[in-house]
Amino acid sequence: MKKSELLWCVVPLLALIFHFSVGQKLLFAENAAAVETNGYLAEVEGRFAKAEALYVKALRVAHPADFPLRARLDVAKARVDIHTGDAPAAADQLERLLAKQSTASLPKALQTETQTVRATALYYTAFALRLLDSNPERWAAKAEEARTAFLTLHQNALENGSPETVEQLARALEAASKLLHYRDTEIAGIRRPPIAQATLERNAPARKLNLADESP
Amino acid sequence: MTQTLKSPLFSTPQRFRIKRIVFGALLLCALILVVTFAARFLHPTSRHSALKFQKNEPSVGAPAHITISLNRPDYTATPDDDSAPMWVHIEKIEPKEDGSFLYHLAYAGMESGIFNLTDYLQKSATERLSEPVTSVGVRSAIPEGALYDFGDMTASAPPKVFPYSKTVGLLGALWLGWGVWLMRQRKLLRTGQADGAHLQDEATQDAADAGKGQAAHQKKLSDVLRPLVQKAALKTISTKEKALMEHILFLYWGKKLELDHLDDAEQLRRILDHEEAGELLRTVEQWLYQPAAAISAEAISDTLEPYMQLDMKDLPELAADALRAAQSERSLLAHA
Repeated sequence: MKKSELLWCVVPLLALIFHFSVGQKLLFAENAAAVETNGYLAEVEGRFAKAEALYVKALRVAHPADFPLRARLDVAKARVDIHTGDAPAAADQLERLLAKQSTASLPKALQTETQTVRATALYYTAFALRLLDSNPERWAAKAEEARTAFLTLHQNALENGSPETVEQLARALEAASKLLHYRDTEIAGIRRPPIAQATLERNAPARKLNLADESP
Repeated sequence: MTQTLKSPLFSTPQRFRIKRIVFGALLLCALILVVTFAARFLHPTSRHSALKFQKNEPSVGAPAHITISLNRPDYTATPDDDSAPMWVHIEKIEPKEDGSFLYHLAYAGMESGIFNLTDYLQKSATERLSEPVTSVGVRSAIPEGALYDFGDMTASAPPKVFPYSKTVGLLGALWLGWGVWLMRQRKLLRTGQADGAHLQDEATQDAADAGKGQAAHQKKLSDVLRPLVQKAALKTISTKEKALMEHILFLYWGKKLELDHLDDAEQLRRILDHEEAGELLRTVEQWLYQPAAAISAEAISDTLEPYMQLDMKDLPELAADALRAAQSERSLLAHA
């Protein structure tokens, strides 16, 4: 048997070894990406329930060891959760993600996005809590947490972010600061953000917000 | 009666009355403007959302830093108050050569507007400092009248992933193509070898039989001669093949009669003189080159039958070389 024929026979063996090691991750990532893209399109179109279902499906399809992909999908799902009124769950989910040591190895942009979405979830949670209960002990800690997170993100963006990001975070910081600063009468007088209203409606009947507030 | 009741004012011409009213109104407007203008400087903590803010001014909630010069080093910042529209912290106090002091301040507005920083410094717990006036602006990043919200939590498009399936498919196709190419190469090689066998059995044998013949031709001369005889009988034999046939017999007899050391002409003369060999060569030549000669293929076949059983090793090297050359020539022609 000639060398080239021998090599031809060896190539499939090497390909199989690759496929069942690194290839699996790539294959899973490709499959998950297809579902994720559909989820993204649904999210952009405002079909948040559909997007959430697709992101959950993508998480099931993703390789268990592909942490960056799973983290990205977690963030996407949390973002959709906020829109559907489940901001407290989204905040908890991202807090757990950020607490993982391996999160530090994630791309910088994904880390920033994770923190931004978490701060947003905290903001809407605090907003809903404030609408639910005027006692600052109930909502001030979450509002302050959101403000601090946005402040850190804003400061980082001032150093190395685009002008659009700086302005976007300035708006978020202002909203979080005002949430802390405004009086109850002022809060009652303003138009409620739809997401805050959705959070209130989804969580208030089950008293989830209070539970979330009481949990450490 | 009516005229006696008129006051001197009423007796004044109508146009003078209008002038007085207009003058009074103008005076009142001027007074309001002066008071408003003065109020801005007397009470700079009041918010003026109508003022245009500079782009580089900090937005609400964003801390900023400033350095101001004051005459004493013992001023302190007022305690933080959640209801206050601004907080000010003293970061550092540095003495200057002229006896004044540089206060490095950090501040953040909780509302948009223009504020006097020294309003947030105090001489003592009860006495606030309001001079000198140091105005700073805090702008609102949320547009006027916008929802108390920030709805720009936009999703970023998922990054493109490595197209693994397509790559595997492409590599698989390439691998198959490579295999086909290798098989074709192998087949061509086999065909080349089979062509040699084809020379032996071109008329009757298929390609598979030719492969088997390849192994056999190394043993018996019949495998070389028989197809040539058959081709000659069918009148399809080429000139080269005729020459090859003659050459094999000539070389065989040259070796058998031990005429190798002589030149070709002398060898031929002596072989033709030999009873058996001469008869054979003359018969074959007649048969090959004189189509009118009444010699049948069967007769030639019978004549050559004794030679058919000879081993190839009885054939001189030269004849073997000639045979191989003929085979490779056939093979190349077939490839082309």
